[in-house]
Amino acid sequence: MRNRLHSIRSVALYESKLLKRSWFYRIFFILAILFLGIFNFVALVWEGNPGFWLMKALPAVIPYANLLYLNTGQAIIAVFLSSEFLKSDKKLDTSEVFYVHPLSNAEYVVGKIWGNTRVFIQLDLLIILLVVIFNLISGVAIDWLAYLGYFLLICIPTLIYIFGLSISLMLILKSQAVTFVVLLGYIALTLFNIGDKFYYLFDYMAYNLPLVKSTIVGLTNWAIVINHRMIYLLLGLGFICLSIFLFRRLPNSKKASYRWLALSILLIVIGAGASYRHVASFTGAAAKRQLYTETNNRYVHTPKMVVERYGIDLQQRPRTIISEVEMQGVALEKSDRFTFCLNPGLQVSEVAENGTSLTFTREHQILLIDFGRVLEAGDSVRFTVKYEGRVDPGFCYLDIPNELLEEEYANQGFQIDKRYSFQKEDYVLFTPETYWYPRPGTSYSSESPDWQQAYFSHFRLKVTTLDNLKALSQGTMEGEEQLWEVKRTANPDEADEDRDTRDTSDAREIKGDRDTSDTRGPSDVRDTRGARDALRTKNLKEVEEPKEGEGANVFLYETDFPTPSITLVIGNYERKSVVVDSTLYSIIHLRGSDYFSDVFDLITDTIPAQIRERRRSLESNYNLDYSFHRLSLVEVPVQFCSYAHTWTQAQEVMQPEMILLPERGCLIDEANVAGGVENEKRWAQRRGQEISDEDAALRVLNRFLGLFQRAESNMDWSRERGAVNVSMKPNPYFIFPQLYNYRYNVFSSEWPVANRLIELYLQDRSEEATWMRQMNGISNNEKASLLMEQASFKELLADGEHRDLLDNIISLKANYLFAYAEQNVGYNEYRDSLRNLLQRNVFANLRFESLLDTMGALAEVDLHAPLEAWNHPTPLPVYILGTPEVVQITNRDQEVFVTKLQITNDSDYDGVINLDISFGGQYIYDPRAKRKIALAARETKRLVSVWEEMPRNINVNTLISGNLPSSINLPVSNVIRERNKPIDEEGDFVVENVSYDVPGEVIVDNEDSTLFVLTEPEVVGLLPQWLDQMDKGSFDYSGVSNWRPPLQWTLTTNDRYYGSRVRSAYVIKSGSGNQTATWKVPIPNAGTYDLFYWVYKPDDARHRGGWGRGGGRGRTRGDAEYHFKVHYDRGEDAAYIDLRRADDGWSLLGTYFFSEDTVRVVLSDECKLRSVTADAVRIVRR
Amino acid sequence: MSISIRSLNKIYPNGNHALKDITMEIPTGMFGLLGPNGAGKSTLMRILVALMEPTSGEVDVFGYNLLKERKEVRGILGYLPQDFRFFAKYKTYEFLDYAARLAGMTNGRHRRQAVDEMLESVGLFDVRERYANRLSGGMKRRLGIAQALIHNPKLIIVDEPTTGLDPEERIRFRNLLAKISEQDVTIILSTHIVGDISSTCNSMALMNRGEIAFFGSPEEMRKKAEGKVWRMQISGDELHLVDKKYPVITTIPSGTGWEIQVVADEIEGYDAEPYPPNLEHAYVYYMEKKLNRWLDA
Repeated sequence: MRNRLHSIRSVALYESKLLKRSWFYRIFFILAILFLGIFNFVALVWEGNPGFWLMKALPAVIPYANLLYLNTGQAIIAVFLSSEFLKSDKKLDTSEVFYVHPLSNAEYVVGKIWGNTRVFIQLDLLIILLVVIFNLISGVAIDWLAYLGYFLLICIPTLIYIFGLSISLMLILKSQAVTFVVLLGYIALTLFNIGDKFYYLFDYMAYNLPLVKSTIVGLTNWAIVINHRMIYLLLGLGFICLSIFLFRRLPNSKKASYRWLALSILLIVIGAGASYRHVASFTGAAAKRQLYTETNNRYVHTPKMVVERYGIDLQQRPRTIISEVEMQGVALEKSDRFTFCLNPGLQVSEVAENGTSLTFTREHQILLIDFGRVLEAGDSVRFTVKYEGRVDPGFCYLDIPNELLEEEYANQGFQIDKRYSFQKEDYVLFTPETYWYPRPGTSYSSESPDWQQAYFSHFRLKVTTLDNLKALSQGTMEGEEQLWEVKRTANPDEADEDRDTRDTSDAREIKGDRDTSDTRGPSDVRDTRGARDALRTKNLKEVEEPKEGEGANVFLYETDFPTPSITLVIGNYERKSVVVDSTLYSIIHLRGSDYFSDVFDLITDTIPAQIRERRRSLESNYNLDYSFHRLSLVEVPVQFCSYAHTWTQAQEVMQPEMILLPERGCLIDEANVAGGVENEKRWAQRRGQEISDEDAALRVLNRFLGLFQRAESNMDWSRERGAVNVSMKPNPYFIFPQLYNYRYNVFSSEWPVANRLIELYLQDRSEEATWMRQMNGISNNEKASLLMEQASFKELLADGEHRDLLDNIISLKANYLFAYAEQNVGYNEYRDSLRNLLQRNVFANLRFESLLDTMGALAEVDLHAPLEAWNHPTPLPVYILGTPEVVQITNRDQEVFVTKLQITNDSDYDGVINLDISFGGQYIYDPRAKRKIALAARETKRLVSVWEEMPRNINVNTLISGNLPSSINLPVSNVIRERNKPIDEEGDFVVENVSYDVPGEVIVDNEDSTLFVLTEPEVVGLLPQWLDQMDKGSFDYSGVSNWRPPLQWTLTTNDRYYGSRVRSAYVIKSGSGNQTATWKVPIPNAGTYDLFYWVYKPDDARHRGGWGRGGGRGRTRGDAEYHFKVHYDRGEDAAYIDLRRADDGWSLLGTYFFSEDTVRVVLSDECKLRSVTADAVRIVRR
Repeated sequence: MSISIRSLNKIYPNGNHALKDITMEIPTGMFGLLGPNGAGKSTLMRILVALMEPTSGEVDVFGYNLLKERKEVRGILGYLPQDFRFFAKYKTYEFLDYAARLAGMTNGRHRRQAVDEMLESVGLFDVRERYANRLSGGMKRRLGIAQALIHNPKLIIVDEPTTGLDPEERIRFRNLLAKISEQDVTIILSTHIVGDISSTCNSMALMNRGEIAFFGSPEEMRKKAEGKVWRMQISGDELHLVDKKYPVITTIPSGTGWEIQVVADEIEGYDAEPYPPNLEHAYVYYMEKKLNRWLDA
């Protein structure tokens, strides 16, 4: 044995000497050090870099990122190096002398591989040392375990696998070149094509393996991660054994050689077994979900109760929970058995009523309680359920399709495991999604929406925690003051004292003011707090720490209001809080996670005002109140992930009076407060300003608070074959559910999305930005319209494929549903009525059907009628919009603007549009300016309105329509001035037999397939052609990026293009004049004509030389001309339009005498701007 | 007997019958394997050092069965292959140290000492830090023998060790081998240069086309050629004709013509006197006359 080890060590020693002496390795070594050195410097040390917040917030990500990058390089380099030794053995005639020595083939091959591996391990260790140094300099805590863990999990299996694979392949293929091609192809395939598909089974480099480690709970997917890495370790070892067998030196003994083959097969089989286990763990979870859903389906119509009161007594155990829940329920229908739902991981031991045991059956999550007697509907019963166990997180999100569950959860490319609950000795998080306490009925059923239950209940929760951990939940905590004992660390001076008094009185004033108009819960509890609250506002440095000792681990919570569900969080928490207007705002963070106080302490005095302002703006924006007495931002592990349900805005990160934020806000750039201060100061400096730390901190706070006001999260950029796509996902931290969902519930047996319809109608989301639409080529609302034409609303709701468009579809439907009613009552007025109706039903389930009755009666419209159409596809109306006319009439001292706009419904289907007239200056609501207008099939309306201010822009949103774009901005230009004229009557007038044609005028648009011709693209290879064909989606119009225009004529839409139904044009990157667009204009009669071209001004023509250094073609001032050639009977004339001078719309090219029947107008792609747009040509007879 | 070979055959996958039923006993001491290129010497050597498997036959090396007890055989071997020019990027002493390690010299101090001594004895100590690739041809060959000897093997197999060396290096090398053979080792030296064998070997075999043409001592072989070597004086024009008729071993210009030595059973038409043969004469006699005739028959 000793000799064997000696041989292996000897071979390894000299193999690593060789590797270290090879230039290839040396270059890699230098590049690795350089690249990672620069990376770490930029990410961790350089103060000018605001990014990489995840790395700074989660210390484990530092080694993770570095080892992941290093590993990728290594995996590729290792292919070249490992197959090299076999080649050199063959090539170098001196190698054979080593073969005649008594060492075995195994010793030789293992020695060689170990020699190579050793060098890489040394490099890894060196890099780790480098990273540790950067880590130390950066001041971020060092997670030593993560350094070791990632090294073992990422680097070792990858190296062993790639060495084994490449050497055995080399021995089989016997050609280094072929081996390279095969292996590099394999790497590219796994990296770029397969990626995380097949549950990241093929991800040998651990690129897609969720490996982000939480500081709170560590890695949550140990079993999967270790199994996954074992696959590659085992396969690698198997391949190494195979290499020993295949090695071309005669073995010391034949028997030994076959032993290696057997071992190789064994290892590869075990590796394959591990792969199977890996896949099975996912498919098994999916099968289990299917089983749970089917169970729900079976029980969804069984009798249910409403639980009015819950008394939960829960004890935390190291691995489990033991819980006793007392419920007071009211039967919803007559029965002796009632259905409840409890997480299937929790075992029920007893159900009892008044001390008498009741029989119950349990089927997975279902708890069927037999009360032993028939309860009539409305009968009340009080009973207890005892259970214990571990929550099975696989039970969560039964409504979410598997593809979505399997989708990566990544930040900056670092994959994070998805967890829906946590149950560890030192940390617990149960959201209602887990069903950690019995809830009436079933959970998600794919067959009937009857499972839905936003029943509002009263909760009393008693939690006994382990090790003095703190429990958090909704409602008022008994003995809260003792728990979060205030410890002063700073002595406020007298001036501060004064300010505090002022703050308190101010706060009270506002509170009083609000209370009169509000039907909030008991306010007496709050009043006793007043004085103490005031103290709390004083200084955020006051650390609130728990009192150690007796009873400190028993927590009693009682909800202040009926609430649909409650949450339980247990952890080593600390709290920083501030009271504003008697609402307690807290950041509840885990011990050691306070990274923000230093910044916010700078602005302690201004924080209350900021919060108050935010709250006011939110409440007035949606005209809804925040009703809870407190709002806490609770730090939870980074793996905690939530999904958007189709029926509600509220995701699990949003809980009544609680927002669950990932640890240290690591996934939220705005949470990087210290970095934010630096940024703000730097940005200010760039603008030539100097701002104080306080100002910067204030801006950072505002930016952070803005997170809760956005309906959508940050932009998501994706790139497919050069075309950029932008999308936005719903922002889970959008605070709207706090204002709406935990107070109101609209419920329908037939329409599970009833509540969502109301939510979205009240939110009235704006269209996505024009530039986004332009890049994507189509807006989500347009996509939604096109889908509705193909399938019914019901089908679309059940369709998982277009889940990302559901909000758009529901929102459009909601807009349509209430359109006629809104037209009768007024935009704001109608929404206010709806809010009042909801308020009358606060903390109760409001039936959608009765809501429709009330809201319909109010506007004298039958709101039930449109529901019938929801079972069928929606035919799309098409509208033709005229040009807005504005006449400024001055009569003596009175000056008014008469605005006229003609709109035609050019289809056989009735429709509704949304009109929004905007003026310069501040937004003031006027029901005439923002309203819905119904247009029956083939109907034309002339909209006349009179204003004291000049309208600047008219936006027509055609909602559900075949128009492209569906939302069109009509800028007001050419105001006609008149004096002493009668002022037109206001109103929407139906106009008969309207024609948009002007006599003597001919327009040829790019949509005209016979009269508009483009040159063929210059060179098109077969591959690009094929790819283009593959790329052609269901949609004819592509997105166009202004700063990267297409190389071929590309058809796209924009509301500033010419067109009736479709406002489209062809766009091409400016060139040398080889590419042209030709309009063949038919001439009705010989005569003199004005020739016009429809000008669309691209951004670089709009901003005169304002693009600075990156201006490119746009820099050349004054030469932004489109070059035309007009071919007519007199010959060929050149014509120009200077895009900088021209306005959007028709622009005169020249006046000509045309006598023949067709005139050709040719536009060349030669231009100094970035792109050329081919749209429409018009002739008008003089 | 140190090595006993019985009915050894090697047929390459391409059908080339490289060794044909070879049977011989190689005694202790220095053994020469002489033969022209392609005779099968290297094949035999490679089989003896367990780099290649024979198609059939048995080989015993110091009592070990080569096919079954490869590890034991490898344990007593030192080998210098025919081609020994291209090295991995090792320094001279490293190469030697690597070989010593693989040969089982586990004790670091002893090994270093042995390496230094060996470098000294083959005259490479001064270039020990030089990369082996940068050594001259002779130095490389000396490094080769050094690595073959570093662990004091019982059997040393050197394949064409002097090919390509200049005369001085060649003599040095022969002397080195002679010195080693004084110890209790068996050296098998394969060569196509007769001088290598005549100066050092006490027994030898002559191989041709995969068979053993002669087995015995060099002296016995030389004797076989007695009376077959002739010296004659000829003119320049005649040389051309004689060369066609008889194998000419040496041509020395003398006066107006040439003094030549030829190998033949008898000379007709020329004035020739018998000449005492050396091993080289015997080799030529075997190759050119006897074997070919015999083969032709």
